[in-house]
Order: sequence, then C-alpha cells, then structure tokens
Amino acid sequence: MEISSEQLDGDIYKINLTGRMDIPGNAEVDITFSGMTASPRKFFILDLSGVDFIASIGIRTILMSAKAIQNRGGKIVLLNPDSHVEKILSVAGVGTILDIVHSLETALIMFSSQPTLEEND
Amino acid sequence: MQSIGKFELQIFNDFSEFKVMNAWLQNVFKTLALPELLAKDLDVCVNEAVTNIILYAYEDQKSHQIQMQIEFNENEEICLTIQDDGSPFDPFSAVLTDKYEKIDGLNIGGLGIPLMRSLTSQRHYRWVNGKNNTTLCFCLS
Repeated sequence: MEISSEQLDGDIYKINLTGRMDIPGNAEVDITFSGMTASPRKFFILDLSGVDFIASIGIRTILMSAKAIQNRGGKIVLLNPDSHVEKILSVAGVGTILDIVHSLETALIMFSSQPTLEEND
Repeated sequence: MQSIGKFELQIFNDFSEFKVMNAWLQNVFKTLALPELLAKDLDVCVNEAVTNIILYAYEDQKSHQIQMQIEFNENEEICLTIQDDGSPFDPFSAVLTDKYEKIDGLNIGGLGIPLMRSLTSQRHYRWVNGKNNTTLCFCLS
C-alpha cells in the first residue's frame, strides 16, 4: 500500500490511501497512518478512492484512529470509497459511526461547524 | 461463465503466504471470469477465514498446512472450502461476545466472522478426521 498526506485549509489534514488494505498491505501503512492521525491534529479526511480492497484489519486500523481522534474532540470523514469497499464498510457498521461522503466539497462541509484547532487550544 | 472444475491451494499458517494466496485467488477469478463484486466478496471472506486460522487456530508455534478448494456446486454457487488442523472451531455457531474493544457500540475487533456471515449465501462447518472444514458459498445470480 501507499500513503500520502496534504494539509488543507481549516486545519484539515487529508490522508490518501492507495492499494489493498489486507494483512500485508495494512502492515505497510499502519504505523505511518497512526502517526499521521496522532495528536495534535484533530480534523481528517481519509481519501479511500485508491483503496481497491479492504478486510477487517483495515477497518480496525481506521476505527482505532477514529476512536483516538474522537476522544480528543476531533473528527474524521471517509472520502470516496469504491462501491465494494463501501459495501464492506457498511456491512461492518462503519457507516453508522463515521461519515462517508463522495466528494471533497461535501467532506469539507462536514467540518464547517467544527471549531478550528486554534479555537480549541 | 466457465465451468472448469475445481481449484486447490495449500499454504502454511504464516501471513507471508498471503502473497501466494492472493495471486492464486486472482488467477482463479480471472480464469472463471467471476463478476468483480462477487470475486471481491469471496476475496474478503478468504482473507478473514485464513487470518482467523493463522491468529487463533494453533496453540503451538509449529508450521501447519491450510488447504483451500474452490469449486462450483449444483446450486449455481461457487464454494470455497478451507481445511485446517487447528483447534476445533465452528465460526458459524460461535456466539459473538462483547470481548472486543468498541467504538460507539461497534466492535473494533471481531469483524471477520460477521463479514463472512453477511457476504455468503450458504455456510457450512464440519469437523472431519481431526480437521476443521469450513465452507463458504456465494450465489452466482
């Protein structure tokens, strides 16, 4: 797997995952992903458009980071999973606790009511 | 859709074998010209089942063999059977407990078995000659 990131306006950090999120693939990005989603950042868009397969290990990685982010008052939005990845996320119940959107504009709107990082500090 | 017998693979209980397993699966999917979404459902279930075997089936640190077989049945289903010599475990009668860490009520661990239950049209488990035989079937229609 590959992982990259970019800083967007409004203290939003966009993380892009590419590849197959199974046991071997997840192991390639797990530590980097956990580091990227670590404090002090709070607001994240996780772009899944490049992920063509996800197993429960990948869901677990996303949820563990989401839990840590939510525990410090942050938020993570999942962006543009392909139809099968979204199906697996739905079956696993992820859609009931995390927002899943299909455009960057919609993802950014999800943060419009969030206080900025500076306002929180 | 072609109907050309069955496909078999044997791997060891080591995650390094996933590369071999995934290559085999992609070759089977291509040979059978399986619909993409069905192939991905099967792919997920194989990954979950084998992951569970490697993580939980063996109490020793020895190398064990895991056999896999994919074939069509008379009900127009494609069925995967996984055989392992680990501890007896029926994934389909197992009660899913609250032992896993949760986020807003959702289990973070323990997602594999619910995924297998949801994505398959039929599921069977048998204990035969000291081995677990787990069969997962997927409807072609």
